[in-house]
Amino acid sequence: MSQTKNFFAGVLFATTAMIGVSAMPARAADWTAIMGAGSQSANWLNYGGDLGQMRYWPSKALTPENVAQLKVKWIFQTGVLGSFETTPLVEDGVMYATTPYNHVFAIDARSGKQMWHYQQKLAAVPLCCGPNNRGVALLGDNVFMATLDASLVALDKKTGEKIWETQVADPQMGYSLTMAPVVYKDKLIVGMGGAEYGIRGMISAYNVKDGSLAWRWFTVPEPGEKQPDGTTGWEGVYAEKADGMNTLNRDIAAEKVNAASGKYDDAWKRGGASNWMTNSIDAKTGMVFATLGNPSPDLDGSIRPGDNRWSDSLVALDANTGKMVWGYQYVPHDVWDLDAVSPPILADVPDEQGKMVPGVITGGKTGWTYVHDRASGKLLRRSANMIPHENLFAQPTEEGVRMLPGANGGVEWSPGAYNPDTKMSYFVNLHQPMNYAVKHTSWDKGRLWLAGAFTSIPGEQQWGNICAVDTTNGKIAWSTKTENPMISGAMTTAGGLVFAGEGNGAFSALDAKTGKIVWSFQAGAGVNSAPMAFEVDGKPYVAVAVGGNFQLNYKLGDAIMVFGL
Amino acid sequence: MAAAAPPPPPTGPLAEWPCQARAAQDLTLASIYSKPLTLPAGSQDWQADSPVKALVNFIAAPENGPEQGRARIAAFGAAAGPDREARLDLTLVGLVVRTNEFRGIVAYGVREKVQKSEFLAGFLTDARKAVENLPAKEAPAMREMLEKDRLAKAHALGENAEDAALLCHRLDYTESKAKSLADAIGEQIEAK
Repeated sequence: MSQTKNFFAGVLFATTAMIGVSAMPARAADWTAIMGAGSQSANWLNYGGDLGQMRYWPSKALTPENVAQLKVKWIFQTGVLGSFETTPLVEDGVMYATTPYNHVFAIDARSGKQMWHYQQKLAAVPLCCGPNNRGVALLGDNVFMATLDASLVALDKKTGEKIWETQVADPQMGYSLTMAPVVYKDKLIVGMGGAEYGIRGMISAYNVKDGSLAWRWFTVPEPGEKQPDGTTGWEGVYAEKADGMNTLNRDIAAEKVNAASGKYDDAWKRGGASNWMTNSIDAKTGMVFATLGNPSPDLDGSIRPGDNRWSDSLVALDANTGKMVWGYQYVPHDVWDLDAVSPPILADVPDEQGKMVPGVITGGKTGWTYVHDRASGKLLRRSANMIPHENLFAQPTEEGVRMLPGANGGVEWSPGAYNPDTKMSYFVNLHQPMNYAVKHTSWDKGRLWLAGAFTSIPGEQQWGNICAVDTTNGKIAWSTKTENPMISGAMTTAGGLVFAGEGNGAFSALDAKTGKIVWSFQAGAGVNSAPMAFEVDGKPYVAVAVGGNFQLNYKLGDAIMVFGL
Repeated sequence: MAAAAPPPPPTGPLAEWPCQARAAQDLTLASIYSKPLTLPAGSQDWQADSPVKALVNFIAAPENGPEQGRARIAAFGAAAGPDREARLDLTLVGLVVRTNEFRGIVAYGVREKVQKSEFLAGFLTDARKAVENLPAKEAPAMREMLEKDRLAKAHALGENAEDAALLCHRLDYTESKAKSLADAIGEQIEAK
């Protein structure tokens, strides 16, 4: 996954600030409230709404019939420019939102007035993954933020004062945290981005009381480390096909020769498999579900023989211990950067016999939606193509090979949504035809090595879509094309709507059953974040961060916009 | 909260070796630790001593910062038995090995970024020419599309340069981290 970079950007923001603290009543969403977040519409208590990240707002206050009356109620300008990817949380009339560069704001959700502001001191450290941040977690009297310099910080919900801080990893090595953490009982679970060139991805759990480490799981297994499917290490089974269906065009014989040579025994240390996005929690079974990124190096597979587990995978861990329960790898031995990034969605789905079972839904850069059995990880069904495919899984060549989807997807980090009423999942997609080129070149000691790049193709139209997939059969229910490739996220409602923003500033509501655009607002900057909804005094509101995206060159801004009837 | 202007994005490939740290230069024990080891040359199998191996793997792991490493070294030193000095010497040997392994991986990454920059610079040049050579009568939509493509390629080149800068920093930092850890080991050796 590619992220906006800003090397040493932290030097620009090397102060801690506490501004405008005002008196406010104590609020305390406890674990019971967090678990039940998806069954009420007043508050948005987790990054993905409920712990399973359905991004489903269970209110019928907004419908295709009345949504045209939505108007801007207030705008909060943060003063911080940068790719603005946060999803705000709301609890009892207070909004908590992060911005790039480690800022957290508490805002009166009625008026848009700032209540407090906190900025975590950011020293001169290299940022692997851009200055962005996707949001906070709430539990009890605390607000939790994962920081760019790889710390977790607990703040007092009433005042914004820091309660504790713990270092997750050494920021001088380039470790950085950009995701919103997620709460499981008395733990905070957070994953690490930027895994490459010696950095292995990892997911860690910290005790909310004091920030002490509870467990850590590395996304790339060590040699000899036994995996749930009986294999060991990261080589896997040398899968010839993705999902048992599409040939990966691997030279498996050559890979096995390379593996047997012993030259690449340390390849697993080269790392990869970042955990970019907030993980999903099944509170009932005590499991955490995570999507994992590409192996490293991204395009040169010659030095990492095997499947490179658990890159490009969906994994399930025991949330109490961090022990791996199962894994499903979407693209074994990826050389196209087609990793799994968008957060998993937990919802009940029909199994092969039509019986409803707990499931996991993901959207991939591959342009497919996947539906898994939650207990075993078994793939129940894969959707039709959400975007065009061409030369899929063609090996990169010296001349360059045109392949669809491009390296950004399909579905990038953008969170999808699931509506239990329509039984559809909603994902935003990119269509960016790309050339994948590699070149063998000599290095010192006469060694040949491979390097490559993927780039857009001049003159080829790029676009996006908001795509609804019927999760009962994998068919595309509808697809609404957008002017630009989509990188943002979706939210759906019991009133039968889907909300999503575009890079050109359009923030729209679509009929969840048909995909028809029933309301749209021009926000003036890229709407490249996932929206949310809440209620104050019984009135419905929809909020979204409007701040563009550096990666796709969408106009930057600094506003949180809140809409109401 | 205003940000300072970022440096201008690169328009060409990276230098053949863009880091201050010298290419392919391994650290030696002498480069991070000034005292001689008491271990005979034939007794430096640090991986044969499980606690030493675990200590080395922990302190050299990239996720663990020098402060964590120093604390772990102090705990190890306090608990070690009569062969304490020899085992701390072994730790130094292992630290150099593990650090060099990591640096080798990072150096590989730098070279990959250099190579990638040559690709990307070539693509950017082509994209720029495509915009420049577009006939004036060509549809504005095509011009806009080519201009977007040029911007995307310029962005990719800049991002690649930032990746390389991060890796160069990682190379420099591993050396200073290794020195810091070696100092901590030395303090334990002296604290008899």
